Amino acid sequence: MLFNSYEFWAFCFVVLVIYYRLGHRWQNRFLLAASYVFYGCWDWRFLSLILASTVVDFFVAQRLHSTQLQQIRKRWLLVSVATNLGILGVFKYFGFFAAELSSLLQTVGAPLMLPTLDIVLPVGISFYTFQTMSYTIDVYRRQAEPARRFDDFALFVCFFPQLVAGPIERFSRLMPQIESTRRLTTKNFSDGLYYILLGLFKKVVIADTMASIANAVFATPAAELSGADCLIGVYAFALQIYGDFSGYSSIAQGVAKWLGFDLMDNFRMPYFATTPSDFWRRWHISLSQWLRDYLYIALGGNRGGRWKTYRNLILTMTLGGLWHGAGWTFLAWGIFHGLILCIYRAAGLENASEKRPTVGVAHWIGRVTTSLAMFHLVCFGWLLFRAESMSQVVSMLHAIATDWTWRSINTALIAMIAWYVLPLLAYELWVERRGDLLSLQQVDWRAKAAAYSYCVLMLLVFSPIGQQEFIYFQF
Amino acid sequence: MEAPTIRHSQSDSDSRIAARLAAANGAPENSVAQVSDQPVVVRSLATELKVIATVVAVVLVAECGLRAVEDSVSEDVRHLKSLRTASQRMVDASQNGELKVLFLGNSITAASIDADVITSRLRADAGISCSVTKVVPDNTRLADWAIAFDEFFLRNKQLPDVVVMGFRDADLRDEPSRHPDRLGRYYCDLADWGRLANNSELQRFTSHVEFLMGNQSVLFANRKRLRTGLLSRLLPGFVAASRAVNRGTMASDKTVSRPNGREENRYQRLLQFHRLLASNDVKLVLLAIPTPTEYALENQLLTVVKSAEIDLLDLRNAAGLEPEMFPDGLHMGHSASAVFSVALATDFKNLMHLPDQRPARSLQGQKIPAIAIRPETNRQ
Repeated sequence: MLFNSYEFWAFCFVVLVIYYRLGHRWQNRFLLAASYVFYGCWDWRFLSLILASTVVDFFVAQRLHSTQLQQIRKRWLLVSVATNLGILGVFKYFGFFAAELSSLLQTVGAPLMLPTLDIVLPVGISFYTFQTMSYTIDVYRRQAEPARRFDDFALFVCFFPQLVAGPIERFSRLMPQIESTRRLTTKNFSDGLYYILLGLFKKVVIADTMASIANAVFATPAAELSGADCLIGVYAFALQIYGDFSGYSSIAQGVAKWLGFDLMDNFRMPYFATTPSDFWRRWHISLSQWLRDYLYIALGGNRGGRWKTYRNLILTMTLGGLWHGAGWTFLAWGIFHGLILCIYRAAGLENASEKRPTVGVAHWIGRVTTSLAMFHLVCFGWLLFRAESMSQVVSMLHAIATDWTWRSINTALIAMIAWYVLPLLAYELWVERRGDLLSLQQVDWRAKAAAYSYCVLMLLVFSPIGQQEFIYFQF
Repeated sequence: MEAPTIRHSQSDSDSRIAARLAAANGAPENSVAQVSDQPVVVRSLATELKVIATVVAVVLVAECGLRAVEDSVSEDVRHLKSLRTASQRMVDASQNGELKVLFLGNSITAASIDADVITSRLRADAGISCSVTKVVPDNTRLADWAIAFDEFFLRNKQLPDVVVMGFRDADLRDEPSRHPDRLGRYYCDLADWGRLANNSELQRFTSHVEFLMGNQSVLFANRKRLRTGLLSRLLPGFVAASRAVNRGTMASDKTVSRPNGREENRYQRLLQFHRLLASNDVKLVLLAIPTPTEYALENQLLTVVKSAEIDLLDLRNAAGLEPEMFPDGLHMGHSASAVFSVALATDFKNLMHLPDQRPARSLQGQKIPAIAIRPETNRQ
C-alpha cells in the first residue's frame, strides 16, 4: 500500500473515520491493528519479524530498567542488539556477504558453496529495527523509562505513517504522544494537508518524472552515453531521490498530523547545504541523528583527537552506507561521505561560512558557490549510490571527463527538468530564507490557495501514469 | 456571548500572530487553539476552507474549460468520441450491400491502414465493394478493443462481417486495459462499471478509481494527453527527449524480472473474443503489423491461433517497407501505409477467397462466402 496509491488514501480515510470515534485507549489499539494491516498488505509473513523485535525489546527494556547490575544490563542490551541486528543481518546482508565470500574463496582456489537465502527483503526492516534498538539503548543509558504498556510500545514500533521509511522516531518523542490523548485540531488538519500535498507533489510530480530520466540514463550502456547524458542522469537521480524520500517523509508527517501526532522533520532543503556536516543536518535527519547518537558518539566522537575523529567519521558513514543496502556501491557512497566530512574538517571548511560576510552580494556569491560545490559533491555520491556496479561508475565518470558532446536532446531534457523543478527550487529558497518549514502556513490565504492549486493541477496533469514505488522502501 | 464578537473582529494576521507567538513560546501545537482562544481555531478553519474551496474552484474551472475544448485536445479524443456513432457506418454499409470490415487496433494500426487504398484495391482486384471502419485509439490493446466492440457494435446489433485486429508484439496478451480512465470516459457509462468489474476488466482498486474518475472528469481522463501536448508546445525537443527516455525506460524494464511473464500468458481473452465473434457470425482475422524493430510471435499465441482456427495474416516482413518509411521509428508514414495497404488488400483477398478481377457488385442479401468458408491455408 504505497502512499501514492488510491488504496492507501481509502485506507487512511477509513482509519480516520473510525479513529476519531474511539476513546484514547481504543484509538491506540485500533492504530496498532491498522498498522499491522498496513504492513501485512506487503507481506503478512514479515509481521512476525516486527512482532519478534517488539516482544524482545519490550521485555529487554523492562529487565534493563529493573536490573542494577551493570554486567547483567549489558547482557540484556546485547540480547536486544543481537536480535535486531540478527534480523537485519539475515534478511538484508547475508546474501551479499555469502556471495562475496564465495567469490573470494573461489578466487583463491578454495571454492565453498555457502547457503544462500533467496528471500525478498522485508520492507522497512532497517527503519523499525533502528527505531526499536534506539529504545533499548536509551533505556540502557537511563535516558528513557521503559514503556508501561505492551500495546503502546507495539504501536511505537509499527506506527504506520512512519513504519516503512521513517522518520526513525525516538521513544522519548513518540511515546509521550502515544500515551496522551489526541484530537484533530484545525492546525493539525491544516498542517497535515500542507505536508501531504507537498509530499505528493515531491513524490508524484518531481521524483517519478525524474525517475524516468535517471532510469533511462542508468539503463543505457555507458559507451552510448555522452558526458552530458551522464550528468543529466545524475542530476535527475539527485532530484528523484530527494523528491522521493522527502516526499514520503512529508506525507508521513501529514498523515500523522491528521492522527494527532507530530513526527520530526526529516529533511530541511538539503541541497542548499554548504558543507558535508550541514548536508547531514538537512538530509535524512532522523538517520543522521541516530548514527551520531548511537554510533559516532559511542565510538568516541571527536573526543580522542583529530585522527580518531576522522576514523569515527569514516566508520560511521561507512556503516551508514551499508545501512542503505548490501552492495559495494553503497559502501563506496558511505566511505565517500566519510571522507568529505574529514576533508572539510581538516581544511577548516566546515566553519568557513562564519568568516564570510553575512550580508550583501559577497555573502550571496559565497553562499551560492559553496552550495553549488556541495551539491556537486553530493551528486558524485549519488552516482556511487545509483550505479549498478563500480564499473558503471568508472565508465560514467570517464564519459563526463572526456566526452563533452552536447546534443539537442540534452537541451530538451534540461528544459524538462527545469520545468518541473524550478518552482520547487524557488519555493524552497523562500522557505530557506524564512527559516520555517511551515512558512506557507503563515502567508495570506490567497497565496496559499494559489500554491495549493498549482500543486493539485500539477498532480492531476503532470504526474506520470502509474504508481512508482518509493526508493527507500528497499532499505 | 463574547466569542462571536472577537471571532469577527479579529483579523487573519492577528490570528496568525497569536498562533506564532504561542508556537514560539513552546506551547504544544494542540494548545495553539487554546492559547489564542477558540475564535482563532474558527478563523483558521474558515481560512482553510477558503483555501480548499479555491482549489476546488480552480480545478472545476480547468475541467469546464477543457470540456469546452475537448475535441481539440487531440485527434485521438475526436476519434474516441466518434466511436459512439461508428456503428452507423455498419448500417450504411449494410444498406449498400458492402463487405463490412472493421479494423481494431491502436495507433500503429491507425497509421498502417489506408482505408482508401484497401477499398479501391478490393474493388479493382476482387470486384468487391467494401466499407472500412477503423477503431484505433492510441495506446490500446486487446482489452480495450474487445470493450469497444462490445459497447459500440455488439450492443447496437450493428456488426461487421470481418474484424481485422492489427497488433504488434504483446498487444493480444491477457492484460487489462492500460487506461481505465479512458474506458470510463469514452467507452462505457457509469452503468457498465459493475459489469466490467465482474468481467475482471477492472482488476485492481486503482483501476476502479481511475474508471470512476475518468467517467466524471475530462481533465483526469486526458491528463497524459494534456501533459504531452503542453510540454511539447512549451519545451522544444520534448517529443524527441520523451522518446529517448521511453527507450531507456523500456531497456530498464527489461532488466526487471516479471512474475507474470510471457510464459504464463494463455491468450484466453483472445479466445473469448474469437468465440464471441464466431457466435455472431463475424470473422476474426489477426494482422501482425510490421515495425522497424522486429518482434517475435509468441508460441502460445501461435498455438491458440492454430487450435481455435483463427486466421492470421503475418505481414511483419511485408515487402517494400524500409526503416526510413517510419518517421518516428514506430508508426508508418504515408508512403509506407500505401505500400502496406496494397499488400494487405492482396493477402486479405486471398485469405477471404474473394474472386479475382470481377466488376463491383452488390452483396446485399447474399451470404458472403469468405465468412461461410473458413480457409485452411495461410495459417500459422
